[in-house]
Formats: sequence, structure tokens, C-alpha cells
Amino acid sequence: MEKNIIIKVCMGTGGVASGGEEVLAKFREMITESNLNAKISSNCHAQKVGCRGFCSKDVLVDVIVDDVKTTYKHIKPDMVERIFNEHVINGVPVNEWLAGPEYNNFHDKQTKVVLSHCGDIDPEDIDSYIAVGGYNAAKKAVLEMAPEEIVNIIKNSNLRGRGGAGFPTGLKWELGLRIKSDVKYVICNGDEGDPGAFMDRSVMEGDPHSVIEGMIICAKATQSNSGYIYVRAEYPLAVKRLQMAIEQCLMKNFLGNNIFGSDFSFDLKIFQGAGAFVCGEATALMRSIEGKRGMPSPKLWRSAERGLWDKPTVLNNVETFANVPKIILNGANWYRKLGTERSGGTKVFSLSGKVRNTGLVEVPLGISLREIIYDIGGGIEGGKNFKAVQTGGPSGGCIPAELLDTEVDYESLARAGSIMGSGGMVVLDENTCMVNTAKFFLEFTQAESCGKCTPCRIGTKRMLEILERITSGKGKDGDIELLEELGNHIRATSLCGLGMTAANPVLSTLKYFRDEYIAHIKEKRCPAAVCRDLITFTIIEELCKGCGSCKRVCPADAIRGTRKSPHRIDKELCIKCGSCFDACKFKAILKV
Amino acid sequence: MKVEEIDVDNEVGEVSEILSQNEKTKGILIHVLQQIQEDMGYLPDEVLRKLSKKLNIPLSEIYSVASFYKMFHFKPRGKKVVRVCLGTACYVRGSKKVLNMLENEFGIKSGDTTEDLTMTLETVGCVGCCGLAPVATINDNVVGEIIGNKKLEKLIDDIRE
Amino acid sequence: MEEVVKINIDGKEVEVPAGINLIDAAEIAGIHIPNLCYMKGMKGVGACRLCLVEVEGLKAPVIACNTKVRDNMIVKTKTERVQEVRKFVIDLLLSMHPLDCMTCTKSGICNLQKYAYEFELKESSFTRKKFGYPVDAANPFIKRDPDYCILCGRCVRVCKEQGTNVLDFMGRGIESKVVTANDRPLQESECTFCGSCVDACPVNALLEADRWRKGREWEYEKYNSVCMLCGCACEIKVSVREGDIQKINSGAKDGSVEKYLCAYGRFGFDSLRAESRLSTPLKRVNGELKETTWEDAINIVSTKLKEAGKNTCIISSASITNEDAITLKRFATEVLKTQNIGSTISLYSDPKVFKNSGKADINSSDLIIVIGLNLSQWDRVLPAIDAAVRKRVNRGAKLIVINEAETGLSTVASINLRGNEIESIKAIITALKQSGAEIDKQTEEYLSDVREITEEITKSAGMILNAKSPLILVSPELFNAASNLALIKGDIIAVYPESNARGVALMGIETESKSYAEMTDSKYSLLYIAGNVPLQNRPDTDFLIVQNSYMNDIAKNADIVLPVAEYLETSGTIIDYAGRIKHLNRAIDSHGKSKSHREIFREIAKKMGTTLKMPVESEIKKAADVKAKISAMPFEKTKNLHFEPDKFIETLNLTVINNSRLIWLKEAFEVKAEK
Repeated sequence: MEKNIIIKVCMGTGGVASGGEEVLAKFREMITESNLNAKISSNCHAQKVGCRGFCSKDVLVDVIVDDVKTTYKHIKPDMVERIFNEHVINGVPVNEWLAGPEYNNFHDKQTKVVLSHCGDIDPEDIDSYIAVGGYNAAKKAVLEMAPEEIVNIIKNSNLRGRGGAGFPTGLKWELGLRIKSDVKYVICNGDEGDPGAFMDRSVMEGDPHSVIEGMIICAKATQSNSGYIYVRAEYPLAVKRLQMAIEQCLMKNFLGNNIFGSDFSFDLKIFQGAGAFVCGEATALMRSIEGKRGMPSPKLWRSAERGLWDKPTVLNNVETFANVPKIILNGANWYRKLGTERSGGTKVFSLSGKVRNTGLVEVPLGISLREIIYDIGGGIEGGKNFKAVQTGGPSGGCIPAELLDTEVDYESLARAGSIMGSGGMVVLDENTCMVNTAKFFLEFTQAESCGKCTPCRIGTKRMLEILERITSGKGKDGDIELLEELGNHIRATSLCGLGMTAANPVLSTLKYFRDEYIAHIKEKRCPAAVCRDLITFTIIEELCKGCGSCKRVCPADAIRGTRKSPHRIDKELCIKCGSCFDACKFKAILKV
Repeated sequence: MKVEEIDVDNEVGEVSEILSQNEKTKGILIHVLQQIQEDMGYLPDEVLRKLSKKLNIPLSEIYSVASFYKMFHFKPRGKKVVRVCLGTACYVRGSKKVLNMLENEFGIKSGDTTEDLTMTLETVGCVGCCGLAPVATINDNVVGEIIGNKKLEKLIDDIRE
Repeated sequence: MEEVVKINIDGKEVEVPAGINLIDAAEIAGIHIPNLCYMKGMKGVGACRLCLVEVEGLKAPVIACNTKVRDNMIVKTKTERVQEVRKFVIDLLLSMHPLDCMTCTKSGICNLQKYAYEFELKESSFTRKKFGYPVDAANPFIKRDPDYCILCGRCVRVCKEQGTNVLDFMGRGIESKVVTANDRPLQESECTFCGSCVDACPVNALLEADRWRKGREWEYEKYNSVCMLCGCACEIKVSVREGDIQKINSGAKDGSVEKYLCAYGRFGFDSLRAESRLSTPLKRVNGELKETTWEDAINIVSTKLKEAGKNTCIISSASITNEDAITLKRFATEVLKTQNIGSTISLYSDPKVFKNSGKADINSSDLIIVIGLNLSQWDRVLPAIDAAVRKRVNRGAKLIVINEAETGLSTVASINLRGNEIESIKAIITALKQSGAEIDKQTEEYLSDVREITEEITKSAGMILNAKSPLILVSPELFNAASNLALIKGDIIAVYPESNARGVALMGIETESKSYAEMTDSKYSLLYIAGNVPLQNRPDTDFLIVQNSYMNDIAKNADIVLPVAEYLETSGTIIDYAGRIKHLNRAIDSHGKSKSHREIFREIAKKMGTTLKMPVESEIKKAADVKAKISAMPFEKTKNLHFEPDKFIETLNLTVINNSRLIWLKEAFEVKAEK
């Protein structure tokens, strides 16, 4: 019997950066050139698929022989030939290149709803999406369901806004439907900007049609005929794939006038951002589409009443929309039961930092942080101790080890002093300085402040200055109190969410890791030995072999010593760049 | 993109019939700016002046909107954006010399762009590669240990490439 | 009836109009809610965060500038919580501020200083940082010093709302800055130097360029008066120290769209101390003008007037007060007994128009129809009216522009009807009639040959029908034709170039038989010119008396020159284009020996044996209080009234422009035009 062989090459942004295009091209070349075996060339095809979340192992390649899937990791173009010859032609997998058990662990513990097709279908081909049931939900919603019916299903599913704030999606749609207006808009917020977070990008790149389908259903539910997808400037691949998807939908009449042959019409357009983090805030995003500075405005009206161009507008995030088709097909109960009592379904996180397996993970709400970090993430890299996990990006906070069993849902994370946020999850180990981490996030927020309201504009700058002072050993008595005062006031007085949450990384680290701040200020010491001005490098004589590696890399010529005898660091000259520490193969350099 | 040839309704697309003229022109502003920047590499003053007349949006507002977003530049940008690191480690190892050398070689000051748009010269705080000091980046790729004439010449060649 | 709601602010029960915000509501209750970015009349933007107040039932404080009153709302404006955050906001702002109050010109009127004092902040608790931005002081009008700027955005909003669109934010975050397009000096932008931004700035970031060491707010005596340089007749507030004017600001109420003053009104006062100012009477001796005493001058004038008798002709400017006009009228009828008295009004209007021109407040109109007027802030054609119309449009009013060609306002109009104005008016009336509006029978008779009813005409008619209070602003020559429209709906107001044309006309100075042109062209044995008129060459007359403030071309050709006090040196009243009586208060002493028009007329009359009655307020009110009665009129332009308003206004103000820093503006503008 002829074998059916499919080769799937990961072509998310991570995959492309690691050479996915070349790998795919090589496979295609092999297929066409393998006229040795006509059967293979007619029954084998290679396709690109979106991100499957495990980017640290890119380029990932699936070889599927009659539904039996084998996954390879770290594939380079020059490895393709061997895989092709041994596995595709002769049926024997190349064992040493297999992704292995961690790949399976990583995936097996997840519950994939939003990501179910990512990494599986060809994102640039609508038929690939249709083949897995795509657009059945939209068709059903448009042709068979009344708006109220859709709203009720979404309400009952307990789906909440995945952008971070967790507003119940069904309620938002209900309001959107109730407001009467000849013109209404549906907007998809694809301005994902938290550093290190790429959930929405993966969905837009890997399964763009699911977002569009969710939006069509929302449009029908709220009786809106126009929509925008706001994609940030830094995601050109997402823009390209969404654009292709829209064009394909127009050809199939899934978008445009009288879609699916009904009397309902829905136009969808992409709006490409121009580089401003604050545009992720709903009012700022709408101002941006209107061609203005993306500055948030005070909410006198809810967007559902007066949003884009003062017209009723329903705005949801990418992940929220991507959930919708599955809910329509599988029912509200199915989705609700995946999560907790108050938060239905799953949530995608981008797991990064000092964890063994980094990448995108989708988990049911209510799972504990411990399960995500240890079971899926494989624990801390290098066997170090876990210190904290930062969730919610620059708007979130750090959760310490003693709260590792916190359930992941909107309320529990808030109680722990952080937020759910859009899905950033950075794991920090014992070598992470919490003051420095807080400073990192604040640097980000401060640079992204729009400048409209005083507390965020000047307040974040002043907080950053204090943190810079503390991390450079110039902290003063009272700085902690000043930080807290600033943080609390900025939270209470800022105009928009960005400002109100800007101080969270500082306040939450002050809450759980106050002693680190005190060590920086009073003892002029960085316990994690990160803050350059507070650390000293010394060579442990007993361990130094006198190889001279440290001396060679020292940019300040601060290391003295002759070959084969212990070297010494001149503390006056040392600029604490850490080059010697990295260069020493004998762990002879002490950093405290 | 020729400013004179902008067809507002066409740019706006389907929603054009439900928007006022003012909403329409503002609605395409960012998109048009993106196109101009793509074509010219930056937003030239004389083009923005034309655009202001064409779209009937005050020039001050066009500048204001464009300056809000990181993507837009009002000065020409070179094909290569070169950033010389002036962090402590690089400074000690003579990155100032690298900077001066590049300034002389290309006849521009830090922050400027060569007339032929070969490159834009900037400085940066620290790129975290102190072991390779002094370093510079060319379009975000790090070039390290720029010591000695050979390395400098290589850097210049890479920029000119 | 206006709907009211009852609210409780800090324990005070007050009834306030529904729909207003909490800052305005508190003000009615006599309570000030601190704020730096709020501008009355405009939408609250919530940038400064000072106006946070607590509302019972709400967990978090809300910004008062953008929270509307609700019935039975309980508001607390001074709780510990909000006072603390206010102090925090001021503290932050001080950390970016030069803190040089001891030498700062704005000391005493600076809002930041006021709140720092209130919250006991001597300095900031945080590290201070100044940017050291360059100062823009390249023009003689407005100095911009961004280091003082607190980014409240009031100047930006004011500049945008009035349609000048010069200032805007550049950059973002801590590096945001208020600048012109591409951060160029003001004169390289579209700036008209009206100084609205100066009036809006709560700190020292925008200031009159010459204010350094010219005194601070508490050192000034303040006078409310009226600018008489053009038909806008803007209310002004004059600041005086040691007998000299130091600055002039707009005097209109906060929140009114008429809060505006152009560069002429704000900066033209330099000319009061110019060399060409007349300080004593002059008489012609051996062909040359020589200084003389008032006694001598009045002797000569009265003798000459007696000689000329009925063959005397008096021409008055329409930029004189009602009191002057009444006295002049009495002087002509009671003393000279001449009919030959007229004014510059006949250059641009039939004086009868002012009997029918209505009274209205532009602030309450929701539809403005501008007919045959080329209003422009840039060409200085009634700039304050141009600004007011634009502001009303930005606050939600609709605008229809009916004009032969495109005008500046066209860009902000809902509908532009180009081409012959009369035809457009006729078409609109026809469309209104088709929509069922009641049309005057006489009007219907005048309606004929109506051109095609276009979609725009139908839309215009619809707007008029839907509007609550439409206001028609019309040039005098089209007043009659437009009256037919006002007869159906709305108020109609004639707009003209001189500040008190309406008052001068209503006080009885009107040419019964001859026009200005006829008077200046005919031969009289004596011609008496009172005030500034656009005449350069001496008309054919045996004896010419010029009563003016400046030595201008016509004064140089006079036989007697009588020095007159300028409007800033006089008290009195005028009637503005909208029919409102406005009061002038003398801010400084008359220059040299100059006197007011009415003093001079009374002294001459006395010399000639008649004591003229002093004008009293009641008679001015009575004269002003004509019931406008518009009626159907033929659809045609009033003849011979066409003039170029920009040139006319510039000619009238030539002495002010040439003798003040306004000359810089004129020159800069010419340079720009050449480019």
C-alpha cells in the first residue's frame, strides 16, 4: 500500500528566524528531485505550519507517515537530506535528532483550544483551515443563529477578555447588541506589546482564520457590519497572513456583502500600528485608528456605546476571538467546564525566563503556577532554585515561591499581587535580582508612557530614578517609602490602565522581596550579584590555573598575573562588566 | 506614493460612506505616513506639507501624530543603522575612537545620516556584550572587538557593503 | 425651561443645570476644585489629575472635569484622600519646574505656584530635572519657554479650537513637548500671534515677549474695556502700571467662544506712545503746521465754522463711542444746523441695515450661516468672529458658508454653497418652501428664476429646519436678500469692519442724502473730519479740520489738527455687531493735551454760544433699543457697497500698525508671501 507522507515545517516568526524557509525549500526540493521513487513524490508533500509554541527547539519538523507523527528539533537545511533518505524513503526515523520526551511532556500537559490548529495547519491556506472544521461555526452563527442566541452561548461559556482585564465577553457583546446604531464596529486588538509575550502573534501567524471567524461571529452577535484588526507594526508576518486570510475569505464570500449567502454583511480591514505600546489600551487604540496620537481618553462612555468614531464598538483581544468558533461548535458547557467557576476555558501563556522549556503553553484556567512551571516548563534551568514568577508583563507583579500553588485565574493572581494580564510569564531564579527586575519593567513602562497625565509621565520617571539610584549603590534611607508612596499614588491617579498598573512590578517586589531592597540600600549589596555597581569580582587563588582567559577578555586591563600562576583583579580598575566571570572555565572567579 | 495622487475614498475602503470627510482623511493618515516612510525612508518636511494641504490636516497635527509613534522618522535614515556602544567597558576600550573614526570617514556627526543614505550613525548605552568591547551594531547585528585599523576597515566595509 | 439637578457638594445643596461637569457645578456652589488642564467651555481631558473628587457610591475618585452632574449626587472635593493625591501631582510637577518664582513674571497669577502654596510645597520631594530646552523668543509678541511647561495642553486645545492649529504635542512620554510643526519658530508657522495661548497658559511657558520686568499681576490696575480696531469690538482687559499699559488680554468671559483677541488688539497699544501721536493742536502758519494752544485752535475752528455755516460738511469715523457720536449729532444739528453729516459707514453699508440687524449670542447658536463674508484670522478680516465661528463648530454647531468663492471657513463648513450668494439664498428658501416651511407672501413674489435645487441646497434647508437657533452672519450688501431667509427662521446680524458702526448709525449719524464718496468729492467751504477715515489726499475744500490721534497723511494736509484721545484713553459705550452695548473704561490718561471727541465738540459749541447736553446712559440705551423688524426684500445686492475688507481694515489701522511692533508682523508676512 502507498504511504501518505506529510512533512510540516514550523514557520512562525521563531521558525523563520531559525531558517524554516530554507528547511522547507530543501524538503520540497528533495520531494521533486526524488523521481527515483514516483510513488513518494506523488503522495508526499511538505507544508509550512504556524508556531507550535516550542520555539527554543526551532526549526521543528514533523514527519507524518500514515498519521504517525515524528517530531525533529533544531533542524538545519543540511540535515534535511538525511531525514528524507532515511525516514521518508526508507521509513527509519533519525533517532538522534528527535525532539524527545521533553517535547512530548511540554505538549501533553497542555489543553489546546486556541492553539489546537497552530502548528498543524497551513496558515496561508484557507482550505487547510476548512479541512479541520474551520468556518463551520461562523456559517452556523450567520445562517442559523439569532444574535441573542450567540450572546447567550458566549455568556454561558464564562469566556473572559484574554487581553488581561478579564471582562466577561458575553456581557460586552450583549451591551454591543443592545445599543442601537446604524453603524457599529468590531475591533480585534492585536497590539500585543508586553516584552516577551507572543501569544497573539502565534495565533495571528499560525491560525489567522480562527481570529477572523471569531470576529464574524461577534459581528453577527452585535449586528456590526465593519471591523478592524489592529496589528502592531512589529508583526509583519502576522499582517501578511491576516491579509491573505481576508482575501481568501472575500473570494469564498465569508467576508464582504451577504456572507454565506445570507443578508448579513461584514467588512474587515487590517490597521497596522506604528509603534506605541500604549495603543494596546482600548481608547488609545481607537484614537490610533482615527489617525490621532494614541493617547487614552477618560472613559465618559463605554466603548460599546461610543467607541471608534463615536460609534458603538466591541473590542476584544486576538485570543478571545480565537476561542469563539470553538465555543460555538462545542457548546458553552464544554468550554465553561474547562476552567474554574468564574473563568471559563483555557489561557495561553508565553513561558520564558529561567525555565527549562520555554515557549507557548495553553492551560485550563485554575491550573496551579507550580504545574505550569514544573510539569510543563520542566522546572528551573540548571537545577537552580526558583525565586519568583512574573506574570502580566509590565502591568503585572512577581509571585514568590511560597505562593507557587496559586491557581491561575483572574482573581487568584490579583490576590497574589499580580494580574493575569495578556499571558506573559517570566520565571526568575535565585540569580535574578528583584530590584533589577522591577527596574527593567519600569524602564519599559516609562519609555512607553504617552505623557498625557502627570502621574504616569513624571511619576514613573521619578520611580525609575530611585530604582537606578538603589541599584547603583546610591540608595538612601526613605527610598523604599518614597517608592511605595509614588507607586500607590500613581496607581490611584493615573488616567489609563498603563499608568495605573505601571508601579505593580515595583510594589509587588517590595511586598515579597523587601529584604533585597534593604540589602541594596543599607548594605550596598546585591544578594543575587546582578547589580554591577554593587558586586565585586575576586579570583579564588586555589582554583585559578593561571590560564589567562580572564586577562585577555578584560576590557579595562584590570587583571594582573603571569601564566600558570594565580591572577588577581585590581578593584580600582575593574568596571564590573563580568567578562572574566563568563570567560573563566574553572569557576575561579567569585562574584558577590 | 505620490501625495497628489492619494484617493481618499479608495484608501478608506468600504467604511468610506459612513465617515465624514474629516474622519476619512484622518483615518488614512497613519497608513499614508507608513507608505511615505516606506518609499522615502523617512518623512520629509516638504512631503508632509503637501500632505497637510491634500488631506486638510494641519501640519502641526501631522507632526504630532507621527512623532507619537516609534516607527516614524523626520530625518533620512540610512540603509544601515550603526550604533556605537558608549557603555563603560566599550568606552574604556576606545569606542570613542571608533565613533570619531566613523564620523570622519562618513563626514557626519552622531545622530545624522549620510547624504547618500548609506548609513545612520548613533550611539547606544550598553548592548550587553562587554566581553567583546568595543562593540558597534549594524542593523542590530553585533560587531565586536573593533580594535586596530584592520577591524575598523572591516567595519567600514561592512557598512558600505 | 432649563433642566436642573440638585447636588450636594461638600455639604452644600445646590441646583445646577443638568449636563454640566463637576468643576462648573462646584463653581456655582462657590467651591473651587483645583485643576490645571481644564478649560471652561471645552471637553475635560483629564490630563493633570488634580481635579479628582470623591463621589458617594463610587469606590475610586473621579475627575471632576469630565464627570457630569447627576441628580442627588453627593460630591466631596476636599477629602484627605484627594488632597493627598493633589499634593502628589503638584509635587511631581515641581520636580520638573525651574522654581524661580522670585523672578518669574507669572508669579502671582501662576496656578502651579498657587497650588504649591496651598499644599505647602516649598520644593519637590523628588530629584529635580530640567530639560534646558531652548527658548523661542524670535518674535516681538510671544515668548515660548518649554522648561516651564507642565503639558496641560490648554494652549494646544485653544489653538486647535479656534482653527489656528499652530501648536501641538510632539514626541511622547516624559519627552513630550508643545511645539509648532517640526519645532520651528512661531513666525515660520501659521501663527497669527493672537496670543490666545498666552491667555491659556497657567504657568510661565507662554508669555508676552516684552513682559520681563514690566511688573507682575498684583502691581497692575485692571480696566475692562473694548478694542475698537475693527468690527469685532472684542472685550479686553487692560493692565496698567505707572500710567502705562503693560499688557492687554482678552476680556471675554471664560468659556465663551468670543474669548479671543487678535495681535492688533493685544499688541497694538505700543502706538499710543509713538512719535506720530498728536499731543497738541496744530495750525497751518505760512504753509506749515505749528503747535498751538487749545484756546487758539478752538477760536479758529469756531470762527471758520461760523463763516462756512450750512456749507460745512462733517465726516466721522465709525470707530468712535456712542457718547461721541451723540455729541457730534447734537453739535451738527443744534450748533451748525447742517444736514451734511455722514460717516465711513456708507462705504460698506446702508445705515438702515443697523435698524434691522438683530441681536443674538453666537454662543447659543447651533447653526451658523455665513453669507458673503471672507472672515479670516490670517488676513485679519474680523478675526475674532472667524475664531468664534470655528470654536462653535468645534463645539458641535453646524456651519453653512454661502460665498461667491471659497473662503477660509470653507474647510470647516458642513456645507459650502459657492457661486452667486443671492441665487443660493433663493434656492434654499425654495427648498424650505418645498419642505413645508411657511414663506412670507412678499418673499414669494420676489422669488423667481430659482436655479436648480441641488442636493446640497436640500441638505442646507434640512439643517435649517432641524436647528434650534440658527444665526445668519451676513455682509451688509447682502443683508436685505438674506432677510428673507431670517424671516422664515433664525436671527440675522450684519457684520461690518468698524467697531461702532452700529452705534454710530443708531445714534443718528447717517447720511440722509449723500454718501461718503459724494461728500469727499463735493466742494464744501469747510470739511471737518472726526476720527480715522480712509482718506489720504485733501479733498477740494477751503478749510480742512482734522480731528485725529495720529499725524497721518490727511492730517498733514489739514489747516487745523485737533488731537484726540485714543479708545484706550476714553470711557464710553459702543454697540457691537451683535447689538450688545459694551463699555469702555479709560485705562490711561489722554496723550499730551489730546481730548475726547465729545470734549472737543462741546468746547467748540460753547465757544459758538451753545452748551451741549452731556450724553446720558438712558438715551444711549433708548437709541440702541430698536426693535429689529425685518421684512421681505427684493433679492438683490445693495448697490455700491462692495469693498475689500482686508484692505479697508488695514488702512483704518495703518497708524497703529506702523507705530507698533505690529510692523514686524507685516514685514514678516510680506517676506513669507514673497517666498
